[in-house]
Amino acid sequence: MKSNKIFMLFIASLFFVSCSEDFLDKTKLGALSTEGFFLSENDANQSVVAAYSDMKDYRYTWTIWAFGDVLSDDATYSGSAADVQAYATMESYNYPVDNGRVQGRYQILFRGINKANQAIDGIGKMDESLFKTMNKNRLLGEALFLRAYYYHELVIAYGAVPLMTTTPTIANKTLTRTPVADVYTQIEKDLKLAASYLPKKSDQNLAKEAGRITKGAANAMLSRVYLFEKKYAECKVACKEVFAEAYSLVPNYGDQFTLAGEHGSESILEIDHHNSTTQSGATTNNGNFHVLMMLPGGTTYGYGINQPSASLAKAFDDAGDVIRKDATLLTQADLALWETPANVLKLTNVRSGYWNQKFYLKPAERSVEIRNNPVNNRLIRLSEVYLNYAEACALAPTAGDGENEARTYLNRVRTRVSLPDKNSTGTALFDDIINERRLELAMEGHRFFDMVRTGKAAEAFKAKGNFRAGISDLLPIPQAEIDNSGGLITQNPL
Amino acid sequence: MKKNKWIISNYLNKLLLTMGLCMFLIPAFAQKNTENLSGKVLDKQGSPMIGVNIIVNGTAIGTVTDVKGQWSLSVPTTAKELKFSYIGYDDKIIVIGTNKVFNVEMVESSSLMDEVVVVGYGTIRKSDVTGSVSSVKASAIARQPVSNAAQSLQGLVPGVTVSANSGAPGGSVTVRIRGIGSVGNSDPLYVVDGMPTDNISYLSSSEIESMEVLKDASATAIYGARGANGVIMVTTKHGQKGKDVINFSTYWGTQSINTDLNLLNGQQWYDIQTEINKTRTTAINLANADPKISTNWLKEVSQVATIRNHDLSFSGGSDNFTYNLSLGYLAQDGTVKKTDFERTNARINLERKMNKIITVGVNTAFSNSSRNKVLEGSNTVGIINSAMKLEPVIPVKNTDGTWGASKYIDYPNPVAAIEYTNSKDKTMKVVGNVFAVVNIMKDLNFRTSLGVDMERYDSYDFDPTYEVNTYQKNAINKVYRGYSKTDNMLFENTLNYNKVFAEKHSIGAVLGYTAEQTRYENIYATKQNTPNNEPEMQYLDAAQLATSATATGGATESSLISYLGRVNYSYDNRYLATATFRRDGSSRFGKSNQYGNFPSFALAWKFTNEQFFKNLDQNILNTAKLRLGWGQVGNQSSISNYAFQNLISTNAQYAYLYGKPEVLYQGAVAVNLGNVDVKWEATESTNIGIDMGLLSGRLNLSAEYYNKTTKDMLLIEPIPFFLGFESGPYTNVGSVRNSGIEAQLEWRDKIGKNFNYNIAGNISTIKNEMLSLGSAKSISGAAIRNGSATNTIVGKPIGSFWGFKTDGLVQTADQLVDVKKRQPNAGLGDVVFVDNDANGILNDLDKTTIGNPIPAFYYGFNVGMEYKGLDFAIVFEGTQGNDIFNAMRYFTYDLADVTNKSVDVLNYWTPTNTNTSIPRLNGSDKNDNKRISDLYIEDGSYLRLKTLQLGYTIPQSLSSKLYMTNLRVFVTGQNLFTFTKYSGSDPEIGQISSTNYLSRGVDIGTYPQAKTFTAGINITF
Repeated sequence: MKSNKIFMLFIASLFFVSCSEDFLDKTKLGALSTEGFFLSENDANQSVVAAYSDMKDYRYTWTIWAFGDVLSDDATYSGSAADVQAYATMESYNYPVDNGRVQGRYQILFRGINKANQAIDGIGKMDESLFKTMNKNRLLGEALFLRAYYYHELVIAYGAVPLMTTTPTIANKTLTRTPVADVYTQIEKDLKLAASYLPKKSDQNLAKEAGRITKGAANAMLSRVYLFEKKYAECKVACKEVFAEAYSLVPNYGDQFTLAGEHGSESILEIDHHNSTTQSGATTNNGNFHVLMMLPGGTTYGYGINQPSASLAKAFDDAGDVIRKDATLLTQADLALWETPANVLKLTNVRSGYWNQKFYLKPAERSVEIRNNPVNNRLIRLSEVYLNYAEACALAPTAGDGENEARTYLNRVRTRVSLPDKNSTGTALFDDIINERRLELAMEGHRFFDMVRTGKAAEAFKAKGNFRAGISDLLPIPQAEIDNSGGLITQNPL
Repeated sequence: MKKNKWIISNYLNKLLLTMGLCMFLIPAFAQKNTENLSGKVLDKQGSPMIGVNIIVNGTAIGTVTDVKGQWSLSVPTTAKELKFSYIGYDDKIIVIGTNKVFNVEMVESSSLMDEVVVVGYGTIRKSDVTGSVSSVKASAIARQPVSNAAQSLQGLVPGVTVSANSGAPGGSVTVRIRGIGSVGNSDPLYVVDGMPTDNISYLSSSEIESMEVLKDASATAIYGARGANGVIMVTTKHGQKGKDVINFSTYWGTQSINTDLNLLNGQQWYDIQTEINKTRTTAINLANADPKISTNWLKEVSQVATIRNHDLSFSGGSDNFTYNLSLGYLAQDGTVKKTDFERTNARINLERKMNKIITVGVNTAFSNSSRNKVLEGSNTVGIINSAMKLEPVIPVKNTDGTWGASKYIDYPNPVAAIEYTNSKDKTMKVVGNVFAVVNIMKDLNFRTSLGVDMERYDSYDFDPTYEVNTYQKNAINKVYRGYSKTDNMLFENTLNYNKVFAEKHSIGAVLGYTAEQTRYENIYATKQNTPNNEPEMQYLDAAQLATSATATGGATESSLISYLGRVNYSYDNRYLATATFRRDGSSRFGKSNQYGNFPSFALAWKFTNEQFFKNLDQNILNTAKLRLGWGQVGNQSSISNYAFQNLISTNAQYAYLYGKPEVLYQGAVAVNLGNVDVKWEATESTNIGIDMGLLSGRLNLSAEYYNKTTKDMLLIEPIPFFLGFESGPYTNVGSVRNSGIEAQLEWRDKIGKNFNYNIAGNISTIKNEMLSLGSAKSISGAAIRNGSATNTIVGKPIGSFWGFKTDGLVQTADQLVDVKKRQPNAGLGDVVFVDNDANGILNDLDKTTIGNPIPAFYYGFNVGMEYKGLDFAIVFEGTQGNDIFNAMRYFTYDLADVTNKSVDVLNYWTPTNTNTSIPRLNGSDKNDNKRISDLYIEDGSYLRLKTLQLGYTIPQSLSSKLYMTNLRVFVTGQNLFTFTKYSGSDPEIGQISSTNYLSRGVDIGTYPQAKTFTAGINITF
């Protein structure tokens, strides 16, 4: 019996051996949680880097051209039969509500806004004294620009979208679509504040900082935004802010799209890309995916997507525009010069006979990894701001900022490509400016949105499909968003 | 390329064979002297019993009684005991002694009901089970040539569906008990000799003594937070008191797959492309294709593969000590080239009774496996997927030795892809526990056990440099190397109490406390540019491109503390009651929800033991038990660790470039939302059942109805995109109900002297219905080109197929006018899609549920026969009423592209061939006939001859000369015939991968199950 008692004691002790209090408290190993973030200058910088990162996400940049060019009269989706087919309903303006591009752009832009909001909130609460080598306001300015930029890219494609200016929480999921005007109010506010915080490009150390957002980018973006809002007086002011800086048109139009022409005097904002040996993932790399997509099929690699249309070629010809046509449209003759003869012979998926030369790299410049091409993605160039200004002046002439000014800036753009000056007035002048935008900014993702903005889309795109003004202007809200919001987010007219 | 084999495995392979063969060579002796015995067998009522089996115990010498119940038998003088047996009656053993005449009375039993089954933290007599428990014994498990023992449950256990996700050697299987309880992880919990684990692929089938499937909440509540999806209790073989036994078992065989899928040959492909060209805006250049080449790519990537398995075990014991030592080796080549699986097992199970009070023991398993894999689970470049869609007019290799490649499209040459694949992994596992049982008092004992489950996983991959064509090439070779380790420790303490009071009151109770901790850690690295592609250079150190080096790694920890208890009470063997409770505390949840309580209750009534029933004095129904159970159990496997925290990610995706030249800066940001309030998924289930033994125990019948509802189902709540987070927080918002009926029937009898047989069948129904998705409207799953194959919505089964409904083809001009209102690009012979919401517009809102991957019912039946030394077993299993989403139709029923196609496509619509379901040829397919629709849905019902085995046991008179107690040879066929309407290679379609839960029944080019023939031998010494 004695041994029994000992055992009982032993067992009893086992039962009451309780693990230490924290046995069930396990925290993530190898990663911070939000409680331990925004404590240092480095945290602040990294949060802004993250906010930038969505700008280069191919799921967003894909739509710059897949909407901006392909949905316009300038290009057609092209690629393989399957590619053509998959995008056919988009191009005929029967936008499917679950189209991958429609969802991708929406999703990525809001991810960028979330990250920008986290940065603005987090950095905003940090004490100035924590910033030893970086400027707190500059970081804030970048994040503010990004939030505004992403919102603008949303509004032009989808119309009203929920506006969030703080780090979202789950409680925000019941938000509904904020009227476009209110979103624009915030965009303007953010861009103005950003412009006040950011340095000029001329004050930037290009070697270290090229690609970071500048004061000029904020004002140029503001001028673009005002055109969409039809606030022409404000547009002019913003343009003038840009003109006051040391930007200038590059003498040779085509140079600015080459590797050597990155961050040139005309460049206001670019997405940096490089050829990395360590990264190749579609979303994790920092190479330019679109070179692969747009290279003609049969070359090193290339899907031959986003082929410029005959209509665009004709527009160049009608304008007698040899220089920009040559710099924009990649032809079989060009390929014969640059590609190996064998590749030229086996070109596939030739749809229009043209490819986008602005994303073309010669064989020696191409990366081995297909998605890692080094050429930058040009987002804002000075010539666009010239044309923004010209348009504002033409549509809302005031003393000093009238049609003369409009023609002056229009003709600066034309002179650079050896075209004669325009002397038109009134509607003709406006049409000339719009046509100039088409030629100057061709295949840079502007055309669709410009035509919609100016109400010319139905007429301009009629050869392509049944563009219904007031309906086809906006892409659908992704069906998944309507589902996920439980219907609180409503669909655009389909 | 050299095959990487483990030297130790090779060695073991040879050793096992040698040892097995040596045993044949042991010299033999024989005996001669005999004597005659005789007698009569009567039942309780004094009636003679016909056909009672009488054998000299431990031998094959025997006879049966005649119509008068009389028998006589000549036995060796050394014979000591006679064994009398009859179906439905207790065996009777008589010591021979000096008597020559034996009149024996036999007593009825319900022997099947008296088996002991393993339930959590204890065993119970089958006749006393109050919950829903099914049991499968070693013989049914070991006869199947499968690498994963869970597969052997297929068709044998009602309520359990087993479907392979892949037929690759060592491929994963999806096991579901009573439907699908969650949109997340619904895998059952496995408990091997008391050690909980999530997978039993490390075990060899021959190590297993029994598998018990605990199905309803009253049975699984003892596993609390992990019991919701059912529990599979695996008991490994332990030594038996008595004789020392050496068992050697081996089989060899071949496996093959069906490669004839009725796809076009070269000429047919060429002809149809010629026709399609007429409809293309840009014709493809058919001069590039040689119609005389007819490559069957599926055949080219597959092979007839071998499988071989050897097992050797030593077991036995005395009153105070039992042991079982076993070794096993399985080597299986895949039916797709360059795939294989190899596993070595070793086991030590020991138990020692030290004295009257203390018993100690150990169960230890060591398992080492390696696999070579090819790419599966991809609907763009998977090997089977590529082999089915690549056009036949390409040679595997051109005459100049270069690889054949499509002239038209970027689909890879799958044979070349296999050639350049070097993907393999190795898993080492040590699972075991050390335990002590202390008999505190006569009826009370205490058991303490310390267990470990350690896994070491190595992955290797190497992309060599190669060039097949522009799209299929690799310019810089690359080494991939991964390593992970998982260490799980479990400390369990239980008190067991069993006592009978006043003869009629029987109590069994268990009370326990357990603590478990798991740590996982991994490292993954890659580097490019080794000097050459040889195996010797496939190491990180050989790679020279310093800037290409990448490394990642991390760790997770989780823990679980549990308190558990169960009481079984039985009154007069008539009324039974069970109450179970478990309280689990888990680190996966935030402070406020760390603990959950899981109760269950069950009642049973053995009404055949009631006096009124006995008074009926009928002979049909011998035993019967009504069961009723209710309980609440949990599931925490749907949630990852740390879901309650907001974490900062520094994924490479959040980097950006500044500068000229560009410099990469890494960003950091919270991309997922945590939810501090997450808790378990709770499943409430009710079970009503009846077990009956009829006709003197020859017929056993079991039927149950279950209804289980998962509440608080964990969903990654699909938050709106506008919040900007990549995924929503886990939220307990969903609800799903599974209900159904299960029935099992078994008939055992014998005909004449020597012919024993049994026939058994089972059938289960599932009705699965999503009751709530919280705020979400749907959850899409199984991403395939341009969309998703499944969409889970309220009111429909989990993972239902989703797409447009179709309404035949446009046949007339009048019809076309109408169709064009909704499908502006339609033409004659195009598919008519149904405007489901009837609003006159055809868009994605018209997509609807078009198929159900969950069968209406599934069933199995088997027959076993024994005649003298011959034995025969056959197992059929099947499903009925489930659909398959044949995603391969995107290619094989394509009317526009260059893909290879089913011969059905030749019957395409033309103005003169209108009586067809195949649309017109149309190179641009502006009508988008290929959009996801019910044209992808096929009937997935099948009936399969799962296992057929024929064995012959050499008469003991012969085998004993070789000092063998048993020598059996056998041949086995697995998956010999499958009856199905499904057009793919195999209708057994699990999930796309083991964790792609909403992809059930989606075939994106699934690695088919092999048809296997094996022959083997089993020797016991």
